Amino acid sequence: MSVVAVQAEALLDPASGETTRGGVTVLIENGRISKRGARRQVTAPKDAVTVDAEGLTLLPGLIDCHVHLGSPGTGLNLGERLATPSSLDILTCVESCRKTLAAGFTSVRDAGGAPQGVRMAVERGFFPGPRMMLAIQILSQTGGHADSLFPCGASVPLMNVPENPPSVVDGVEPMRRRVRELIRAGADWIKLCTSGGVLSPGDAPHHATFTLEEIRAAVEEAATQGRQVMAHAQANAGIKNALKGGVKTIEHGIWLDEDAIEMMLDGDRRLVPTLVAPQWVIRHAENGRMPAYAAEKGRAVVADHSESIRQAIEARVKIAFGTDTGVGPHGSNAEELLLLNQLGLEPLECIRSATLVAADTIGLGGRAGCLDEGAFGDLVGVAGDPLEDLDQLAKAENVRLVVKGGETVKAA
Amino acid sequence: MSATAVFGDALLDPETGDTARHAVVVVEDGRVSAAGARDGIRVPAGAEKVDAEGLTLLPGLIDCHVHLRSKGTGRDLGEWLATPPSLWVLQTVPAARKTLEAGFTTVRDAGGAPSGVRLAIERGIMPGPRTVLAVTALSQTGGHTDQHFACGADIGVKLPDVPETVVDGVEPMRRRVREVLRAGADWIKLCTSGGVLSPNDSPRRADLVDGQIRAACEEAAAQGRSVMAHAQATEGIKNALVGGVATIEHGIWLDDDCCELMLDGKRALVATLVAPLWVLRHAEAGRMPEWATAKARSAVEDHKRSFQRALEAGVTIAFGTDTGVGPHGSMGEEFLLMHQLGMDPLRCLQSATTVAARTIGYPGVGTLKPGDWGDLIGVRGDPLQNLELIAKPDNVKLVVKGGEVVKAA
Repeated sequence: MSVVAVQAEALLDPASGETTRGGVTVLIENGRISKRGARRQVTAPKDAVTVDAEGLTLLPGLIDCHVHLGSPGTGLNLGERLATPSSLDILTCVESCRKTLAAGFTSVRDAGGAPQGVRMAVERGFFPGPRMMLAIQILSQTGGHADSLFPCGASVPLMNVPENPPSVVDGVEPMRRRVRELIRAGADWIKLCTSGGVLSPGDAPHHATFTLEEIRAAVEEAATQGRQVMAHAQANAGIKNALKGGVKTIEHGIWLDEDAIEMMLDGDRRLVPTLVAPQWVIRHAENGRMPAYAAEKGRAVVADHSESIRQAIEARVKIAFGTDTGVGPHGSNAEELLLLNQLGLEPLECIRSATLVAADTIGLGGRAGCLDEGAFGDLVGVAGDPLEDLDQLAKAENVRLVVKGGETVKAA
Repeated sequence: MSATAVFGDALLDPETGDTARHAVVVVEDGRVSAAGARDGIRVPAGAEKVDAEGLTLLPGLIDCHVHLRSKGTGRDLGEWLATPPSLWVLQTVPAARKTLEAGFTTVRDAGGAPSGVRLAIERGIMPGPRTVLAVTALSQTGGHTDQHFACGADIGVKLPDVPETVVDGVEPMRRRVREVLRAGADWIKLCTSGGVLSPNDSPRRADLVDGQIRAACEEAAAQGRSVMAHAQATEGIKNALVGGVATIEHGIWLDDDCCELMLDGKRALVATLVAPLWVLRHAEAGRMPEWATAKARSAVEDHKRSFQRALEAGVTIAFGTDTGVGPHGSMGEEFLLMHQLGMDPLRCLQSATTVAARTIGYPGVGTLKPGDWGDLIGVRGDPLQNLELIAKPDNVKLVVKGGEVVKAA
């Protein structure tokens, strides 16, 4: 039996919102939390390996409910895309995984692109990375957000993986079959685009895509195998179709209205805002690394996006932390905390969105994002009090310690 | 400008076998600017100093035959069937790291690793050696790289950026070679005989006897590339040599005529003596199908005799291991096998440095002359007195690639 004792100054429990100070210990046995609290109350066994985190405040490892590990996050340069072989797309995940973990994100949901080989490789220790729930492939209708066909006639997907099923599907019966194929390919989540998006060449974010019947069919098929559906949903009608069809999470949610918010509250749905994503589209555009059509769409949505999320926060819709990282660079995920806070989410709620709520949302409730006995021994350590200063988490360099399953993966 | 100065006890020049005492190697912007005894060399101010006291420095080693995409832990077909293509690509991550940490700073991948692996290493996404790639190993239907099994399943790893392995006929071969070159190949790999790890063939049978070899060599040459031949059967070796290949891989049943052809055309033998040993070791661990084990057993003694014949005839022998059959990082064992069969230590070392560099055609590796890549390793003692120092990865205490320390004791 291997026991790790992490010794730190303070411990923030997102569940209670309480911070224990003056010396704390978290014991991790065989990768799982076994005990934690004030140092005098927690006795470490003699053979425990001590992780010295003196001076740091510990909290559960962070969780991002919307990343794309297969995209490097350095902007979209179509010339570069055309010159990138499939194998390099796959190997891009190596660097993304490392940076994600080093920023304190010990679990993620990949919203499409990363194949199951990436999860297998991390589990086998080929390279360090977070725990992951995978959507495998993004589904959209012909001409929708996941259709990579350009007017020249070439299809240039954002990630090109041999074992991922195709992204374009039309019709109820083909949808059922495609969902079955995705689950066969290792999907934990089904990702549908119920509206257009920003980075795709042929669609508009304010148009709904997929019929309600197609969405319902996907939700049903997912449910029969214990999976849920996440919806890239920006247009108001697309959000409502998704909610009516039974999806669990609304991604982006650029044009929510009162009706949509009410539907979310009634049905215990989750909103994954990804506020930082359009910011990165604009930043990349300023550096000349974004096609004009995407930059234009990014600029057009950003103000409405903020307003929409502000309303949802006010109405107390459950906000699960998600960033669409892969649009922005891996490791920069936590900037989203600052944006959520600016729109009215209290610091403790911001932290909960990236721990408790995120875990519960993606299917890791009680196992990640908390300090419960038996939960994964995933911790981060920061130098100050994150409730006083969200920058402690928001900047990757401020995250001094990252522990995953009791193993130190980053130490200052 | 970034500069690194590595201070070692001694510097061994594999070209001559000479050793300079109290040595320093200065690397500027990735390339050697000076190497030799310290008193004759001015180290630039501001150079990062690497302390390799107690170590003998020598150029980074080169393996002319590896498969970075294969794990090297034996062949378990159940496991294979459960492995998605992306995992095959990601298996190159630990393979490349272990290769580098064993002191091999350059390799020729003999098939399987796609061009993205080279790009990922060049871009710093993962540590690894300099790579020269064959991308796809080509064979005929039913040949060494046809992964069609009797049940009807084809279990070949399908990657979008790796062309198909099976090709029949002269014109299709020309087209396929063009496709492989388009996919980023530096070498063309042909299987001119059957092999051990393939289900449908015999290593004693010659393949591609219909003019495909010559066509492939012509097409490769038209774009400045050479051809390496997986060639075990005597006829397969001869056909390959007559057809114009540059290197014979494995060469299990060489005869005197083969040796003569090799000497005439200045071809190199890449023996991979350690590969059949690993097949047998994996078999003992229950991780090798019976048909492969039987084929390896039937070849291993002849393989050694063939190597000795080539050595005595003065054939150029370039270091290569087929690692990916055996585990990555274990390549140095080949030095011991070559030595046991009569190769002297300096020639052993040359086979993995100067000779290997010339064989694979990679400029600036295998020596530490000014302008060469700053790739070097450090071992505790004189490897010419004790080949174990480069035969075991743990004995390689320091690895520097392009002036950057990638492993330090």
